[in-house]
This record gives sequence, structure tokens and C-alpha cells, in this order.
Amino acid sequence: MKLKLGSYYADRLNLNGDQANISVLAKRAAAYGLAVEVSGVFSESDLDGVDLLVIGHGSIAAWASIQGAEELLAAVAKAEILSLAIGSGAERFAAANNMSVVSGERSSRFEEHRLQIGDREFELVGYANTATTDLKTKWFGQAILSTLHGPLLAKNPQLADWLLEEVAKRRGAELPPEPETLAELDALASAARRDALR
Amino acid sequence: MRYAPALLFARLLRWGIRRVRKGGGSALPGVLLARLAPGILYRVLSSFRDGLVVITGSAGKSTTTKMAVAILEAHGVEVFTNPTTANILQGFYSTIAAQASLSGKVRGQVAVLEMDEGHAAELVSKVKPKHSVILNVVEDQLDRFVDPAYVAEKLLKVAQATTGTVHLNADDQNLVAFESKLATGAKPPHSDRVVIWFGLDEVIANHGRGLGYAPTYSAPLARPAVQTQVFSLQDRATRVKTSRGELGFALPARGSHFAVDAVAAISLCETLLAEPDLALFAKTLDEIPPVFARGEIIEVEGQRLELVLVQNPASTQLNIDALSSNLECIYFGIGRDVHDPSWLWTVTLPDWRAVAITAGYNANEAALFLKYSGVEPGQVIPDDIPASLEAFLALPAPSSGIKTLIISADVMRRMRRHLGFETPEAVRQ
Repeated sequence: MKLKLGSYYADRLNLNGDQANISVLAKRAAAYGLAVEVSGVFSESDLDGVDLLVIGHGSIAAWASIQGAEELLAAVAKAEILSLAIGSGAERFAAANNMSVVSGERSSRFEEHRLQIGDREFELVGYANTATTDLKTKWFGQAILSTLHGPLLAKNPQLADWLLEEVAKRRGAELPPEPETLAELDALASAARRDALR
Repeated sequence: MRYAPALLFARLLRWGIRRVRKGGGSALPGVLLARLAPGILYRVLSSFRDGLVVITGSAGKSTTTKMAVAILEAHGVEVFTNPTTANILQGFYSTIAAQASLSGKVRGQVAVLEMDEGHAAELVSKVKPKHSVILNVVEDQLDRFVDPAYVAEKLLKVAQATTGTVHLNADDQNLVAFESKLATGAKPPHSDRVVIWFGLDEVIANHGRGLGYAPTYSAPLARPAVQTQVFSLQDRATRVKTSRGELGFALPARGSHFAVDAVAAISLCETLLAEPDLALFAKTLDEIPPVFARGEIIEVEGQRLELVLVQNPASTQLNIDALSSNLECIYFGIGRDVHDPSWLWTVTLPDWRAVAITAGYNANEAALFLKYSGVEPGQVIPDDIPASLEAFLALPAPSSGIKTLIISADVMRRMRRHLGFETPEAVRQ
């Protein structure tokens, strides 16, 4: 089984190190013994066979240069592709799929978000620099939308592993128990989360 | 004399703090002076015979300012300038608190100030610069500026407020876009404003990862006619062609971004000086010491330490790329100044196997970044900079004889304080 991780315009939607989420998923998948292929997504035709799509955070100029983003993000939701959209990627995803969000005063700080997916609950820590006040981190259709930008999965490995588990399940497989090789990374992630909320 | 009491209070506060803490005392007097006499800043900056020069942009402000001031002083010009660490409004007040007479006067024919891009836009709404140098727009301090487009807007305000010459970097498409916005409709005192472009030869500008300016992701605008250009760069040896001739000198450190700083300073000084002596330009630039840990080598306890500043994605990438590829003993320190360490994850590290010590306020996130990048973070020492530095110094000397510290400004400041350097510029014992 080879998992296909899609990355939407990886070269443009990486303003805050958002593409690190792809490398975190790839590294952890390898540790679990799962083969991974990372594939660039630029149009709807690139979505074929994508198990998980990551949509990062981009500058105003980056989004302005991407043609058909709204249509593609609507197609992703319609096709129920498991997705992680962060920062402006989450805001664009919400707008493309008629999810109303409220704007207010911009805040720029580390935040703690609670995410509920079915009976699973995650306490996530990451940096948000947004004027979107009510989105936080939400499960929407088959997408996780989060205003926490940057390397969200690095600091929150429990969410990275849930995504891998979900991808494996959809392919009829099970994620094996967490290998010891990830213990040091998880300890650093835990320390970084703790530091972020000082 | 209406500013005398405020200046006296600020001066006393500075004196008191410096008695308690060596090298300290620069920030609070500025805060006090800004509170007691906010108008003094605008009065002082409007008082120079040859006007106010603003040097701003995302990266390279310190080096460019240092180079320009050195060239001007070598030509006998008396310059009022600010220290590297004081480039925001409060810092200008601190500089005035330190340098003004009690009557509120400071010495100098011209003020050449390095300015933070956010604060520059605010300041020029009150004092119009006669000349400005705008270096670039990079993806920097996004926790504060949010988006490079907003930085470009602030820099455009500086250019539009300038009454004399605006020196712009022709290799940054964000700034090339200013050309049409500056060309038409200017009214007095801006109607005589002239835009002068500086830059690097195309091959040099595009070498390696390029100069790291914020991408515009749009069709490239035509490069304007460049008046002052670097046409040769071999390691640190640089040759520049100006409208008056050619000059050659060595940069204070390797890296094409330093060549940008040099050519910007040359462009400005050619405008400011009535009789610019290019040979003196070259001699002065040759003698510029490294600025505030951009590739400087210091000696501590008989060991040679190379300091590399981590400031924003582009300059960090360029500074790391410019290092030797086979470093043996590395200290990686990310301090409190990096409010959002997310951007670290945009940096591509060379083929390092490990660093020896990861330190600073953000040590754990830095270690996580290193480990996911395939680099072992070594000993992780958050917060305690003196202990981490001592641990690093205790490690055996590498065969190259040089240990490398890749550090943010906050870590560097704490190290300097621990080592007893009293000012940011004091690097050698």
C-alpha cells in the first residue's frame, strides 16, 4: 500500500513553513512502515487517488496568482477528500464551501484549540495570525480547517497520526502501534507545545 | 531650552541604569523622553542642514547604514546616526537622549538613520526625508506585518514622502512596482523627486537561491535602468560601476546580500557628496568590520567562534548557504525575539548530521525542526544562554579550528552580555 499525500501549490502556500506538515506526515508514515508518495496538486485532475490533501498558508500575492482555487477547494469538499487546510488555506476553503466565518480584530499569538472529530478529541497548540475570530480549528465535511498556521502537525503529532490512521483505514488497513523511533520527536513536540503556552 | 528638563531626566535615568548594568540603559530613557517630550524627535530630525536620510526595507538596513555613514565620514561629513539596535521610534528617542545637548540640539550636517519598515512609514508622515534608500521586501516578521504586501505599502509611503532622491533596488520586483506609483502626479515638495536604481548584475542576483525577496508571483516587470551596479562578485571581492566610474573592494562577509547593501550605500553617497572620491569609497568599504554578527568571527577564551544571525527566512537561508558545508561544531540558538518560530520550517538545512547544542527560548521547537530536517539537535538547553554557551565552549575544538553559532538576535545579545561586551558593536576582547 502506498499512500498518496497531495500538496496544493506547495511552492506558493508555504509562507509560514506550512509544507512542513507534508514532511511530518511522510516521516511519520515511514516510521510506521507505510510507503508514501508526495504529489503536487495544481488542478482538479491532480486530485485522482489523493488520500490526503494539505492546503497551506500563502501570501495575498500567492493566492492572487492561483487560478481556479475556489473551484478546486469546492471540488475537494464535494469529493470528500480527507484534507488539512491551515491559515489562509482554511479561510479560503471555508469561503469556497459557503461556510460563514466572522472577522474581527486581528490577533497574532500562540493559541490552544479543541478539535472534535466523532468521538476523538484533540487539544491542539499552534500559532495563529488571523482576523477570523470564530473558525479556530473545525472538522468540516472531511476537512480539518485550522487558523493555526505553520508546522501544526509537528507540534501536534496525535493529529498527524490520526490522519495517517484515517487514511490507512480508508484503504482497508490499520496503523500499527507507534514505533519507539518517534518517541524523541513526540517528547520535543510536547515540550514545544508547553513552551508555546508560557 | 523647553526640552531641557525632559532631556535631563532621560540622561539621569540612562546614567543610573548604566551604573547598575554594563551596556544597558538604552531603552528606558527613550521611553521616558518620548513620554515627556514627544515633539523633540521631529524637531531634531528636521534640523539638519542636509536633511534626513532614511534607510529602510526588510533586510540589510544595519549594514547599509554603517557603510553609508562610514563613506560620508571619510569624506569629512559630520553625520548623526542611530546605533544598530535602535531603529524604531523609541530607539530614536534613546539616541537623542544620549546625544542631544540640553538645548535639544544634536551635532551633524545630515541625519542618516536606519529605520524599521513599520516605524519609518509612521515617522515620514511627520518629517519628510530628503533622501531614502529602500532595500527590499522579504517575508520577515510576519507575526507583526502579516503579509509582504503590507510591508510594500509601508515602504511605498516612505518613497512617496521623500522630497529629493529615492534609491531603489532594481532586483526586487516589489520595488520595481513602485516606479509607476512614483512617476506621476507628485506635487511640491515632491515634484523634484528623482528615483535612482541600484542593483546586481543579473547573473549574480540569480546565483544559487537568488536574493530571497518576497515573490510577487506575477509576470516580471521590466527592470529599470540601473545607475549603480555590482558587475563582479568573487567570494568577497566586489566591483561596482557607477555613473562616475568603477571601484573595487572586499565585502565585510560573504554573500550577495552584502553586495546589495554596499551598492545601495554607494548609490546614496554619490548623491549626497558634492565631490565623491570613489577611491575613498573603496578604501572605506574595505575597512568596514562585520555588522552585528553577520558572519563575524570572534575570539572567546582562545577559541574562534563564527557568528551567524538568524533573522528571517531569506537571510537565514542565505547566511546558512554561505557557510562552509562541512561544519563540525554547531550551536543553534533561537531566542525570545522569534515570536512565531513557524518560519524556521521554511529553511532548508545543508547536509549536517548533527548540531552540538540547541538553545534559546524556542529551543524545543528549534530541536523539533532540526530533528524533522534529519539533523540531530544534540543537547537541548532552553532559556539558560550562559550555561549553553559554557557547554559549547567546553566541547573539543573541531579540526577546522572554528566553532559556528547560528543564533537569533536575542540569543546573541544575551551571549554578548554574558561575555562582557558592552555594546552590540563590541565583538572583540
